[in-house]
Amino acid sequence: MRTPSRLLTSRLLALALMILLVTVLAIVSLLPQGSLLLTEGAEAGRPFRTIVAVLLAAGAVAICAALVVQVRSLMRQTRRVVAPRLSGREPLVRTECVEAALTARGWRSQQLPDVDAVAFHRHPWSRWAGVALHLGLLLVMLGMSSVLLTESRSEYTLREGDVLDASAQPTMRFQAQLAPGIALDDALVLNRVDPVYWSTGELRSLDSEFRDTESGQILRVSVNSVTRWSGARLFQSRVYGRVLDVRIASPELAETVYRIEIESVPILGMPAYRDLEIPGIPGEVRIRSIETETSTGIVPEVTVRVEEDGIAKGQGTLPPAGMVTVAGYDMTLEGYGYWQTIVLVRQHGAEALIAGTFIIMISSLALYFLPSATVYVVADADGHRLILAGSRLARAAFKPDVEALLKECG
Amino acid sequence: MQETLLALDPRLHVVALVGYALAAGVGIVTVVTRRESWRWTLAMSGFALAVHSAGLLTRWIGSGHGPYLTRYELLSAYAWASVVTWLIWSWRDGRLRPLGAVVMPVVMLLIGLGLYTGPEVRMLPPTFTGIWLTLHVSFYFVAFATGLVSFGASALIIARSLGTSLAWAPPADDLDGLAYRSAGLAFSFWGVGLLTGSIWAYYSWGRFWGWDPVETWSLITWLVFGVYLHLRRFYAWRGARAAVLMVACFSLALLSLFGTSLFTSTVHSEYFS
Repeated sequence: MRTPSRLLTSRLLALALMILLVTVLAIVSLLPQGSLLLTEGAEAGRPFRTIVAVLLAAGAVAICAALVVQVRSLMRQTRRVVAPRLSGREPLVRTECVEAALTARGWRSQQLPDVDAVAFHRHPWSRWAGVALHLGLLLVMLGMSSVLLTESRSEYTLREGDVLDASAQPTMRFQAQLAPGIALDDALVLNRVDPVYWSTGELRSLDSEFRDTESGQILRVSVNSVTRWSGARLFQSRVYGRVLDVRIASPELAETVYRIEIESVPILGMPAYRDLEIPGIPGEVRIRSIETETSTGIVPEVTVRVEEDGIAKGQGTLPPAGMVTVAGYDMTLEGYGYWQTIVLVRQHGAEALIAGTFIIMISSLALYFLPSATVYVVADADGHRLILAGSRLARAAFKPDVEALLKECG
Repeated sequence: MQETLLALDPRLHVVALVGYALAAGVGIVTVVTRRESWRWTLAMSGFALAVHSAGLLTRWIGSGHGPYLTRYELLSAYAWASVVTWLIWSWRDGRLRPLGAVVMPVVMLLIGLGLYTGPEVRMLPPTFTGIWLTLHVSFYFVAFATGLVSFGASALIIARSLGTSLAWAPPADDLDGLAYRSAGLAFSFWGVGLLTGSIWAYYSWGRFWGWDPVETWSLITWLVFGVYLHLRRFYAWRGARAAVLMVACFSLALLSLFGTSLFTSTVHSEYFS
C-alpha cells in the first residue's frame, strides 16, 4: 500500500498530470465545440474523451491528497514575521517547556531571523476547515463523476399543443455509459410558450406552460431554473420561434396549408427569416417575420416574397385574417403560435456537486481568510517572555490553552 | 431618472480614468525621483476609486443589474477589484505601495478599453439570473485582482533581474513572497469561480460542463496556476524563473478571460460583447 500511496501523492506525478492535462485540454479546445462529450457520434473527440477522463480521475485523486497541504502552506511560507516589542509586563516562561507543550498541541514553530525569538502559529479552525475542504473536493469529484457516468439527455422541439411522451422524437440524444435512459411514463402537453420582453425589446424571460395529461397538473418551465417531472429534470432552452400556418393556393397548385417554423431573434422588432422551397412554386419563397407588441399581445407581422434566380416575382404582407396574392399565389395566414426547445435530463450526483462547492467556499473562507493565532517567545534581559497575538477571534480561541500553558511553564 | 444615471456613468468613468492616470503619473514620478512618499499616489487612487465606484453604482441602478454583462461593465469591474485589492494590500503592508506603479497602468488600460468598446446598456437575458452567476463573476473579479498583484510583483522581479536598480521597490524576498501568496489566492478564487460557473451553467443549460472553449481555457489557466504553485512549493522555484512563469500564467488568464470569446465560437461570446 505504501508504494502506490507514495506514487499517488508524489510531486512529480502531480506535476506531470497537470502538464499532460493542460496539453490535452489545449488540443481539445481546438476541436469543434461540443464534440468531446455531448454530441452523439462525435468521433473527433472520442480518443481524447478517454485520455481526459483518465487524466482527470488520476489528477483528481492526487491533487485532492496534496491540495490542502499545498495551499495552506502558502500563507505560512510567505508571511514575514517580526517579533513584537516587549512592554516588560509579559509573563516569563521556560522556552523548552513552551516549545514542547505547543509542538505537542499542533502549533507550528518558526525561528525569527536576527533576534532571540520563536513564533508558534496555529489556525483556530484549521483542523475542521481542512477536513471540510477535503470533503468538499471529494463531493465535487464524486458528483462530477456520477453526473458524467449516469447522465441521459434528450432535447425536444415542441410546438404549442404538442405532446411530450414516450413517442416524442428528440432532436438530440446523449446517453452516458451507465445511464439507464429516459423512459417517459407520463405525458405533458405544451399549452403555451410565453416570451416576455424588456422595454428595450430584449428578451427578459421565456417560460413554457405544460399540462400533465393524467393529473392535469400545470408545470411552468423557465430559463435558468430546474423543474422536476417524472423522475427527470426539465430545462427550458432559450431557443424558440414562430410556427406559421400558411395556406397557399393557385390554379396550378392544389390548395395546401404549409406549417413553417422560423427561429425568433430574441429582440422585439428584429426580423427573423426563413427561406424555403415549396413544391409547385418555382424559385424560392422567403418568409420574414417581425414580432410586434399590440393591445392583444405579441403578434408576428409576416411578409412573403417569391424569388426566382434572385429576381423578386412578388411580395406581400399577410394580414392576420385575410388573403394576399403574391406572384399569382393566394396566401392566407391561417394561424400562428410558438415552438420551443426543451431539454430533458436524468442524472445522479448534481446535488453532491453543488453541496461540495458550498463546502469548499465556506472552508476556503475559514482557512485562508481567518488569520492564525501566534504565540511569541521573545528574550529580554530577565529571560523569555510569552505573548499571544493575532485577531480577536483567534486569541479568544486559544486563550484557555495559553493560560494552561502559563501555569505549566511559567 | 434611469437615463440620467446611465448618461452620468461614462462621464464618471472618464473622470476615474483621469484620476488613475494621475495616480500612475505621480507613481512613476515617485519612482523616477526615488522618493519614499507614496501619499499622493494613494490619495489620487483613492479619489479615482471613489469616482469609479460611483460610476459603477449609477450604472448598476440605471441598468438594473450588476457590472457583468457587457465588455465595458466587465472591464470596469475587473479594474475596480484590482484597485481595491492593491489598496487593501498597501494598507496592510506599506512596503507594497510601489506595486501601484504596475497596477495603475493596467487599471487605466482596462478602463480605457472599456470606454473604447462603448458604454451601451444591455438588459439581462433570461439566463443571467441567480446567485450562482453573481458568485461566479465575483470570484473571477477577485481572482483577476489577486493575479494582477502577483503579476505586478513578478514584473518587478524580472525588471530587477535584468539589471534595473529599482531601489524604490520592496526587497526581492518580499516581492517573491507576495507573488507566491497572491498567486495562491488567485488559484483558490479562480477554482471556486470555475465551480460556481459550472453550477450556473447547470441551471441555465442543464449541464455542468460542456467543453466550451471559454470553460476549457479557464480550466487550463487554473491548472497552469497550479503548476506554478507546485513548482514553487516542491521544486524551490524562486526569483526570475518563477516570475517569468507567473507572467505567463497571468497572460493566459487574460487570454482566457478576454481573448477566447473573441477568437473562437463560444456560448460566452453572445454575452461578452
